Amino acid sequence: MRYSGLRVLAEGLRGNRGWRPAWDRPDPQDAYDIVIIGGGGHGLSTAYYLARNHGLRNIAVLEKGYLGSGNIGRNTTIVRANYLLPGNSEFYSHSLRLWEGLEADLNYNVMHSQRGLINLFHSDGQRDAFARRGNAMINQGDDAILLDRDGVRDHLPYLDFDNIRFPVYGGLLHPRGGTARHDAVAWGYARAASRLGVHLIENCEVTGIDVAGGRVTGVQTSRGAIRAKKVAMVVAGRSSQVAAMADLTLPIESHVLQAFVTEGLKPCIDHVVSFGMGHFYISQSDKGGLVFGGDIDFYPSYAARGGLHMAEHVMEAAMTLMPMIGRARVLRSWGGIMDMSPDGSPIIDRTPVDGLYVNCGWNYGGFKAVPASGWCLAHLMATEESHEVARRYRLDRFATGHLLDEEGTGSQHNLH
Amino acid sequence: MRVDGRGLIDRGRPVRFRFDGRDVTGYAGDTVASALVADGERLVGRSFKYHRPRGILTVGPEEPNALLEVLEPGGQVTPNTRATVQEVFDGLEVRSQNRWPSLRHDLMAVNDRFAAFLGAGFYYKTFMWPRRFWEGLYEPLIRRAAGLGRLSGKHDEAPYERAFAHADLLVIGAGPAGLMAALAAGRAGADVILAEADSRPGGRLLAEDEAVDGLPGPDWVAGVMAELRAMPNVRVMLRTTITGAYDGGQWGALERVGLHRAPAPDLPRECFWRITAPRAILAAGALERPVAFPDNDRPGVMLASAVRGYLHRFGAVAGRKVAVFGAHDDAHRTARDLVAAGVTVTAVIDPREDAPEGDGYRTRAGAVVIGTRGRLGLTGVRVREGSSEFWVEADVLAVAGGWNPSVHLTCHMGARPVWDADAVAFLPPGPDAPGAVPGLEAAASAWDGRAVVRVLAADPLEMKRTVAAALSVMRHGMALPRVWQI
Amino acid sequence: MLIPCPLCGPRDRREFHPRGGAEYLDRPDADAPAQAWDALLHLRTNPAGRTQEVWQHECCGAWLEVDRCTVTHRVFGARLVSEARDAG
Ligand SMILES: Cc1cc2nc3c(=O)[nH]c(=O)nc-3n(C[C@H](O)[C@H](O)[C@H](O)COP(=O)(O)OP(=O)(O)OC[C@H]3O[C@@H](n4cnc5c(N)ncnc54)[C@H](O)[C@@H]3O)c2cc1C
Ligand SMILES: [Zn+2]
Repeated sequence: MRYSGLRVLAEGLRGNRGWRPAWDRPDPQDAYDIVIIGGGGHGLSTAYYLARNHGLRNIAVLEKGYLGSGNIGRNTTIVRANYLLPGNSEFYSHSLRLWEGLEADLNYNVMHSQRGLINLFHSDGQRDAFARRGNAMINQGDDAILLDRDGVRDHLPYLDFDNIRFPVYGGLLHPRGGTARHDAVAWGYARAASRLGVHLIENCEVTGIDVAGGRVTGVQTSRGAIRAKKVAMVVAGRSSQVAAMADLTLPIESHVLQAFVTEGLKPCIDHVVSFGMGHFYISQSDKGGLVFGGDIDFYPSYAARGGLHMAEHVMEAAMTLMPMIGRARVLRSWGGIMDMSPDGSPIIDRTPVDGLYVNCGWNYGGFKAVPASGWCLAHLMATEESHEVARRYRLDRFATGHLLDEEGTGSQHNLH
Repeated sequence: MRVDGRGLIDRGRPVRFRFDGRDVTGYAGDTVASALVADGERLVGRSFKYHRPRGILTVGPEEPNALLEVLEPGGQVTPNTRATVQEVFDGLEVRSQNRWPSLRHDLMAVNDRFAAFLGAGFYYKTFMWPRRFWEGLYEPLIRRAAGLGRLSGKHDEAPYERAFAHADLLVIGAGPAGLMAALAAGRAGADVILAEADSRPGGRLLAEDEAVDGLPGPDWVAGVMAELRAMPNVRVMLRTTITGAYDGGQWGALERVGLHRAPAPDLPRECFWRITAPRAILAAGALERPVAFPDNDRPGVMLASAVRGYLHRFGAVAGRKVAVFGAHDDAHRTARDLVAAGVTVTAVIDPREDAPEGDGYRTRAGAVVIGTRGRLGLTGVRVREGSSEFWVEADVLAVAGGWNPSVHLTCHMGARPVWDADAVAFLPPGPDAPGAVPGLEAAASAWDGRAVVRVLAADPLEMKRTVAAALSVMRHGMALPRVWQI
Repeated sequence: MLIPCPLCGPRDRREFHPRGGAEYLDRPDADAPAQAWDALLHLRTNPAGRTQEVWQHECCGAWLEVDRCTVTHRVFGARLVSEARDAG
């Protein structure tokens, strides 16, 4: 069933009785050509592009909870392509182009909203760094505009420009940056994949990975054993546990990242705004809630909830940057378990086990990567060649020294 | 309308405030909601999506409808303020929100007529073409329609505070259960913080006509409070909501320091407390459930617990003819209380075939409400009894759907509430459930002093020897009425 | 989260800085192969459950081995790294 405005009208007139479930819920088969572990954004998009781009059909996505129960449904929905380093630039640029055609491709409105993202700077040094980043973005074919103080004021009149510690010097505007409705991304990919025959299997936890003679042969799950020729681990914060099932140790630490949303408000923040002197970023959802977040809680954690210290820190940053927010009331806060890599960049690669692939290390930023990550992992699994834009996301880069330290903070876990 | 001789408001101290530009007079002790109820104002808001007219539903912080903007002289605005929580003060100005041009005539109410085309998630299925129209047209329209109150865009320059406190035991809620817990622990020598979100301790004892120890509920509360206030090891924090349970026995708490008074330069609006207490007792009571039937959201449909609350605590009734609906004895309690106060009860509609006969009101046993009329304010209730259907006149319909214990804080670390088929409610997860909040005990209801004793007995500060003191309080507590019952 | 520093007593998490799993203390020999250093610096068992970690108490400067659960955040105890090493 194709979705369209006409369909909504027609169904409305017929009492909305014609709608069908957006995706099928088959029982697992004994065997598949390809098994994707993890029904988050990356797992679903990988399955979709395997079917769409490579014509493969015998694919299952195994999800231990319900589709979208992980970070894909917990993030702050920022979509951007404002990277500096070769390796990251082309990947996120590719992703943003996929976002721009995503609704038409999936026939699902994921509400990708290119409302513009503004990274603020608060010192001359920061201005130089952002000018450099903006040039890198332009070289990559993306868009960037360096705004001075008045330029920022035109867009964000509500900021505290003269804050005594963190005066606003200007900002880097990325007009094509913005947000998307995170759940809809999972649902849209799920529906599109299901329409191409991919089996989406929920409540199916992978408990073991079968390896024989150095080759993967299948997985053990809470719903029985499933044979597979190729298996991909796409489980975000659970990457270390799943990899351990194949006796692999990854360069990943799991940390909790919190997010917050206020009660619904009439439009007041029209962009994505990011503070330059503390970790704080904010946008307003189409429903009216101010959605914001900050840093990870900074210790390894599998509790999908945050600590008070970081919640307080985020609120302080919010009040420092945009004091109008003091009159909004926080409605909910939550946490997601993040797969942090030492250099802050992801991994899309083969593993030492034949037929076993890994996609992890997304840190704070894997939502915007969903289209390109699935695209590239599908390419790798189908062709056994790394996709051009994901070439540098190698598992062995830490051992070989080919790091992708976008923030320049050093390539160690506790530095991010 | 006010009912003579009822309520804990101070009728000697009238308070004038403005609602949507109109002067309203209440009394010290009123909330905006209770003053509006007394004033006969039933329409206070519009629903989020279909802009259906909405009235006050509850008497507490759980209020979903009566959300208002509080306006300050310099143009500062605080949106989404619950009328049921905001206390009145002279010069307070509040305004309804999410309507245009006015609350009575809201053009966005056309959405209600097109509801068939605006079903849940319709926007995922449309607005995709042409691509450019999303940011240019569709999204701005959606954004403008969405949201409730408004931020002013002005810097919030009001003072706020941050503070820290430590205790052996945090008691959450100063209803009868919390008061008993604090008393027991206080007498046993523990350092106690008793936090209560309301401006007044007592919980539902303020909202019911119940006697304790031969005293009217509020008088008994006053007695316990006097003893607590005299204990140097007990600190009572009113207008303080516990917002979250965190690791290491830490609790977030938000105190409304100045929100009930006219803003002043040195008066903090709120204070965020970090309370460290290795043990806590949750005595946050319960919330009444509404009942589902068509058009159950009309202004004038209220929770029965709210109807009693407005009557007993504020001496206010929202109408002249009240009907009551519910398969719960609280439906009859509501009717009895109203009749005793001289209010006309047009019917108690009780689906149970063996529903109790009314004294001073008529019970419609085996009957159900199947609809209502009155767009801007309820005028009647459609009832089905056996094979017949008829209208019952009413400008207020009190609905009693049973109670949900406030289990929220027990679930802050991932534990799930447990469905109890006998209680027909979700109960707090046990202290050993995976994800349970360490040190938090839920006191199921007023007479459950066992939680207090368990907490004291497990306390590392060697308070076991003083458990006897707690037990004496507990026995005393056994005489407490059940102010809510699942 | 409160961590009991053996020198200072129970203190708020904010005073501490985490440094990773206790395996971090097992430094390879200076001439160990590159893989050993890669493992030390980058690879993590990253367990979900009770585990030993290295934290520093920034107030007194002590390095601690903290016994903690990464699922519940419960802290079971902490001792000085030097003592933990002596105890083996
Ligand atoms: C609070 C927060 C804010 C964020 N903000 C942004 C942002 O603004 N922009 C941005 O780009 N990114 C953001 N991110 C990051 C982004 O959400 C993640 O990087 C991304 O969603 C991770 O990929 P995923 O969607 O596949 O993960 P998930 O949705 O977590 O999917 C992994 C799935 O694997 C399943 N799984 C795990 N173990 C097993 C098993 N053994 N068997 C079967 N299934 C299993 C899980 O249940 C889960 O559904 C944010 C993350 C968080 C937590
Ligand atoms: Zn110390």
